[in-house]
Amino acid sequence: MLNTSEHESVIQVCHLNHWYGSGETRSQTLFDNSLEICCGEVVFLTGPSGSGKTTLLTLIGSLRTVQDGSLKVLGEELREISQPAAINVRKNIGFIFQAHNLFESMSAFQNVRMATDLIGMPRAESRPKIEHLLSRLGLADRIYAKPRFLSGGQKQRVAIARGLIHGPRIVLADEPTAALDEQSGRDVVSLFREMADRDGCTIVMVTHDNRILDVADRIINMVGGIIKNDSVLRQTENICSFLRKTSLFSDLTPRTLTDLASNMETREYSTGEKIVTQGDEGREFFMIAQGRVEITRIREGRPETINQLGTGEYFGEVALLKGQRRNATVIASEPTTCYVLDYDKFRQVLDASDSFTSELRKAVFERV
Amino acid sequence: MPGETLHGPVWEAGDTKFMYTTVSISSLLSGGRQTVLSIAGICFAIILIFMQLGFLGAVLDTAVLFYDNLKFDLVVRSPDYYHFCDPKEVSRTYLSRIENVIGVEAVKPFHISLGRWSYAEHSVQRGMIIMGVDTNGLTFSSISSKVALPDLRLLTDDRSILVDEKSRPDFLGFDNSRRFSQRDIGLRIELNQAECEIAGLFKMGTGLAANGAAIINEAGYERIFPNYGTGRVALGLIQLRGESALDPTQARDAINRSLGFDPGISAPPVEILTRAEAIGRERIHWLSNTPVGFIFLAGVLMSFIVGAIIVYIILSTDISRQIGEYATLKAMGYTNGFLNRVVLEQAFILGMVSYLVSFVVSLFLYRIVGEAANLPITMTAGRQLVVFISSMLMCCLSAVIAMQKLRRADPADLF
Repeated sequence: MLNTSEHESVIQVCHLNHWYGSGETRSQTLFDNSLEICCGEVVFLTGPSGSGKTTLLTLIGSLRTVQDGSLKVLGEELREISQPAAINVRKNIGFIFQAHNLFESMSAFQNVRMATDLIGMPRAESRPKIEHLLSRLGLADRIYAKPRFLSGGQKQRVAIARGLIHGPRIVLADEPTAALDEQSGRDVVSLFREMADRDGCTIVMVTHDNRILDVADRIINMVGGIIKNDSVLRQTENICSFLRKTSLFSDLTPRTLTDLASNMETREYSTGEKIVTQGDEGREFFMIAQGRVEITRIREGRPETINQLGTGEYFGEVALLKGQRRNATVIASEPTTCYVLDYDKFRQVLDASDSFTSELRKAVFERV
Repeated sequence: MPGETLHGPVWEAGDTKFMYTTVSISSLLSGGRQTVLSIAGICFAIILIFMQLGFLGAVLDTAVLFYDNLKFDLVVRSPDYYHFCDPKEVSRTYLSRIENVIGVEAVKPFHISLGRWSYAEHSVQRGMIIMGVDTNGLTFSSISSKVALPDLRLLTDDRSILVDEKSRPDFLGFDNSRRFSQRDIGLRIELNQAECEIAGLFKMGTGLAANGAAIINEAGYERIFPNYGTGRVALGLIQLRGESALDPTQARDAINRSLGFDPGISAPPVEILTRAEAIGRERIHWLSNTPVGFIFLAGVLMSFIVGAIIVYIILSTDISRQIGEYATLKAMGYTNGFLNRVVLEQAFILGMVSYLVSFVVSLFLYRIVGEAANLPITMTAGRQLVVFISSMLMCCLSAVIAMQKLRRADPADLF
């Protein structure tokens, strides 16, 4: 049951409501939130205190009972879940709390071992793993130290190791870097990033630490119990850097560029797949992120190749600009990735940027 | 791969059985000085229990002290018998009638009463147990090496007395002002205003009824207690012979039959008991007819409650101190059962350590207090077991109550 493959969603939030208290003091903290988080995503939760982000985190961690709506974690519906099943879900989650909560009398090593013991990992196996992870977090010489001999940041890193050592599928963290200096914070988040990329571990963390924003795939901003903004950062960033390199967009302000990028959708095509069909209504603009396409036009009943386009080139703009139907068919001649912008957004950008318009018109003129 | 981290039952694999102990011991150790003080507190309670039970045992032991040191198989006594130092009396004729029953070797008269001891010009008098014995045939015997039996041959006339070395030092007249010694032999004192002379010493102990004991022959006893009816005795100590000695109960029934007593029909004028019955009844008397049993048992109960409260305070402070840690364990997937067991185990460790310390301290205290109070407090195996079980019960009870606090460890509060 608790199995997911890559790109499958590990956390599915659907019309989730939550209240605290009962009777007259009952107050709602989450309002009809829906959200999907995929395997391997690094998601930052931000928002002012009381915005419901910790509530959401505890619900995902199955530490709190789901009251209304649906919440699936690792394929398991948490609403009305039994206690043993909830515990089973929790064992697949790594928790990192703001307070380190280390047993004072146990060494860093023993504290971390509480997590591997729980899942029944033999001690011969867990020992080198724990030592390696603690070293990785810069605690190589503090492995057997008691918490009272550790600084606040070191304790926090031990707590992080405890949350990660058992190879959780999901890591839920609350301000994990708040107590850390810049370098340690960087070490921790790059470890998160590595776990996400290598093991498909999903990281959801509440943070306001803007030194580490670059690690996030997504930033979810909550206000007053509602998800206000959910931006897919990494993708946007990739598109941006790609767009910046093309002459078509070179003059756009960074803001317009980002805006444009965040509205672009990534689509993948396999060899021979039809991207645009001649005669169809044109509603979208395509940029080739990678790959190669062939443009054919049917003339006098016979298809005729009129052009080939490669990485960094674009197509589909003629139909958009002139409001015509598609004047040619575009077929992927190798596996191709395109960034796609829909008509409305295309028009907005067009209106916002004279240079873009003139550049585009020039290009169209040249091509037709 | 992540998928491999999924397991079935939590306790199936690994060296997890050590975990409870790791958590419990280490969390106790982390208490540091506080834990040491707490253990001292629990020890205090357990030592109190040891002492209370020790005193109770000693009282009961001293109550049967004389029975213990006298040689007899059966005893004849008054149905109104109250306790050893207040035995009422029976007619001497029964003694000779019983002596004629087959299987009876001898029946020896025994007198006992409280008398007043005084010395020379001092106006102060002290209560003393005075035993009147038949110097010809009565035998004292003891299995204890701490007892020095009286040498009845020294009672050559009705003025000679033997005194117990263990008599409390508040008796007047002895040479070294501490206790009777060889130097006091020949000292003249008065018992109930009748002059007597110390002829020898013995060592048995006196119990709670009086602070001293003396032995005199029958003639001397009559001299000291002139109002004591001649032809009456306090007890008749029966010695059996042959096969009868092997089964005192049957011998007792045989004597009852031959004397024409049938306890089923009417209350007999005298009561015949076996040695075991006499000793058992003496204990029960002191336990139930006097405040002694109640006082000490109430003391035990109080100590138990105090101990339980101390354990509860230790455990619940420990839980409160580490509530975040326990909540974290819960979040990780540890069950309530695990945490409960940790608490129970802590209680168990506290109980064991405290018991062992208390046991050693109590052995030491038994000796000191026993000597000071002149009470033979011994550490019996039964008492060790009773106190051990009480200590464990005390700790576990507190643990169960303290477990309620664990429920407050809510992992949802951690974020």
